[in-house]
Amino acid sequence: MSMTSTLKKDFMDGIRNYKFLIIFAGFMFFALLTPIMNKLVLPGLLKSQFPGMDQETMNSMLVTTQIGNIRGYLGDIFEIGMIIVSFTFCGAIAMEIREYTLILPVCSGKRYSEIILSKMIVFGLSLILVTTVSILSNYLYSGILFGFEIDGVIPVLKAGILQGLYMVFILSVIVFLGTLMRNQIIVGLLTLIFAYVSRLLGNLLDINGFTPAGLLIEAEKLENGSAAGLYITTAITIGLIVVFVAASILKLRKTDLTRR
Amino acid sequence: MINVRGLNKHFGNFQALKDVNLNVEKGDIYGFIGHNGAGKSTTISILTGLAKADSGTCIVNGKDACKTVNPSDLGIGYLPEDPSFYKWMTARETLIYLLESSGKKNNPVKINEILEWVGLEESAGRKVGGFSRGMKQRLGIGAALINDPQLLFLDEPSSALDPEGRGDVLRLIKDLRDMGKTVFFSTHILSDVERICNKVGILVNGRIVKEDRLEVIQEENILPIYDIETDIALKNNIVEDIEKLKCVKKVQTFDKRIQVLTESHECGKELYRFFSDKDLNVVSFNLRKNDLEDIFLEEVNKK
Amino acid sequence: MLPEILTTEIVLMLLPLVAIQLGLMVFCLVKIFKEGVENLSKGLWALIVICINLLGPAIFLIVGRRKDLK
Ligand SMILES: Nc1ncnc2c1ncn2[C@@H]1O[C@H](COP(=O)(O)OP(=O)(O)O)[C@@H](O)[C@H]1O
Ligand SMILES: [Mg+2]
Repeated sequence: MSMTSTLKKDFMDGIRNYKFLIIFAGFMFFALLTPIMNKLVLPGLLKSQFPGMDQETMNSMLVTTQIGNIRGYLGDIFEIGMIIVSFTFCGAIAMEIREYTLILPVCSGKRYSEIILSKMIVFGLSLILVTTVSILSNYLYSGILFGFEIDGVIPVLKAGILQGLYMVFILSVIVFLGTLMRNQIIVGLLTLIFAYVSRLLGNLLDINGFTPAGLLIEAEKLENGSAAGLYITTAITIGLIVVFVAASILKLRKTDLTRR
Repeated sequence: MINVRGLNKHFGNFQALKDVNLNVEKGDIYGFIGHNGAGKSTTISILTGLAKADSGTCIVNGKDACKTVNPSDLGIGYLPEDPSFYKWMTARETLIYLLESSGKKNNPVKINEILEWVGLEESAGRKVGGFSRGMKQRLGIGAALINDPQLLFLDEPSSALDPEGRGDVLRLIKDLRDMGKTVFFSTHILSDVERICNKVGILVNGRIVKEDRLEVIQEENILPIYDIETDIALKNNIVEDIEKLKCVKKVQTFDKRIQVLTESHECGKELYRFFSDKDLNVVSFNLRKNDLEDIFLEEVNKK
Repeated sequence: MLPEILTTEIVLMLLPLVAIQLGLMVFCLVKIFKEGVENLSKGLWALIVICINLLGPAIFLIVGRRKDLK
């Protein structure tokens, strides 16, 4: 009964505070924008800037394939979608502690594990749903404009779910940072820095296959089937999510919720 | 119901609680008095199991609150100093959520009873974010009662409210007393304590300086001074006659009012007889008492 | 910009994008002037919502919306 009520409450929070709306609108916006930009706006721009350019040179500078479009969209999401996700959910735990809203539920019998798990489930599922629906829209749009070239919808679905899983990992980072500090803006900024720096380091050291960012790289391949490396990346990501969630529960248990 | 022995609490180098001892029995309405920063909230957050003490034992409802991990295991109700709810939930949703947090099923009859009791039935569908301070306080008292606890901790329930809001809250506490609940509440408004408490503890800078039944404290602090007012100023010879009474030590006159210092308040009878024998018209006749305010200030100044 | 490209099909495809943009903007503007704001002034929030694509309304809904209402 208690867990159901927590899930219901976090769902209501997502709706009434427009969290679902913001991430849905944000992801969909980029999903629909990239193909249109690539088909309509950018060629026109190039043409007006360099009137004498021949078609071949132009094509080499533009995205002209469906796969290119989906990759572009995935890249946009890592850059800007991450900002939206970080700042939409940065208050998940930080604000509850800062505004003392956990005191009464905890006094009434709410367990710390329920509080954390419910947020992970409700917001995590919403992220996976949004990334999947958005990438499918992007697939459809870019297919209509550039022609369908991917073998079926499965690789696209897979890419959406992998991207979603990466976002769930980011959510676990947000939740964990929220148990450490009360300022949600700082939580959001640190999450972003963490995501960008860890991907950069992963690139430099060539270890992305062993970090959650590897999921994004795998998603961009848009391949059917799954390489052995993908299982390792997925296992590591899920392992890290479990670690962050467990650490958050332990930290919250030790936190003095009444501290002014 | 509450038995606290040798409670200590530090914040860094600052010692917020120093060897605090408290004793609250079943059915008591206990007034926990102290000025701002005395350590009242700190004590309550330890007794509710939300914060940890450095040392000491605190038996609350038969369990050691200093050792419990889950505050809900203590079976108490708690109203924080500034109760926080989700601003985006309605009052009714808030109570349902808190009821379900304890693992129970939603019980609309009970929720309605509580809403009605705290006078929020009309605002039950409004978002708590738009509530006034007094409404939030009443919702908080309702929330504290959601699991039918026998013991309630109320942290400054009336302090931040206007007179009307304070009256509402005091009425609710009286109801709690009539329901047979034990209430431990902190405040710095002493007239509230005098109106509803039967036991008080005075906390000064983290130390309990006095703890007793209210009537015992009041008894101890009755002064053997009578303030008597007459319709016309008393003549000098009458004042001298009063001074000659056996139990009277000293008389001071202030126009129509005199102040009589006596040996004990047994003297009231003789003074009364004196005035009626002389056929003087007494307008008022008062035994002067120290009120809680004076007692409190006296204790604070001793330190 | 390039009217010859704007076939009915393309216009239909543009519609959802415009709906997201305009929908969010109008939704936020109505909230700003009907319910009030937090942290910044009404005018400033309106400017942010109108000028900053997508992120403007998102920021407004997260930090600018009045929460002590209704
Ligand atoms: N988290 C904290 N860190 C440092 N000092 C604190 C903390 N909480 C309370 N204090 C100090 O402890 C003292 C008692 O505070 P409190 O219990 O809130 O007093 P009261 O409720 O009686 O007004 C105050 O001097 C306060 O500054
Ligand atoms: Mg206090």
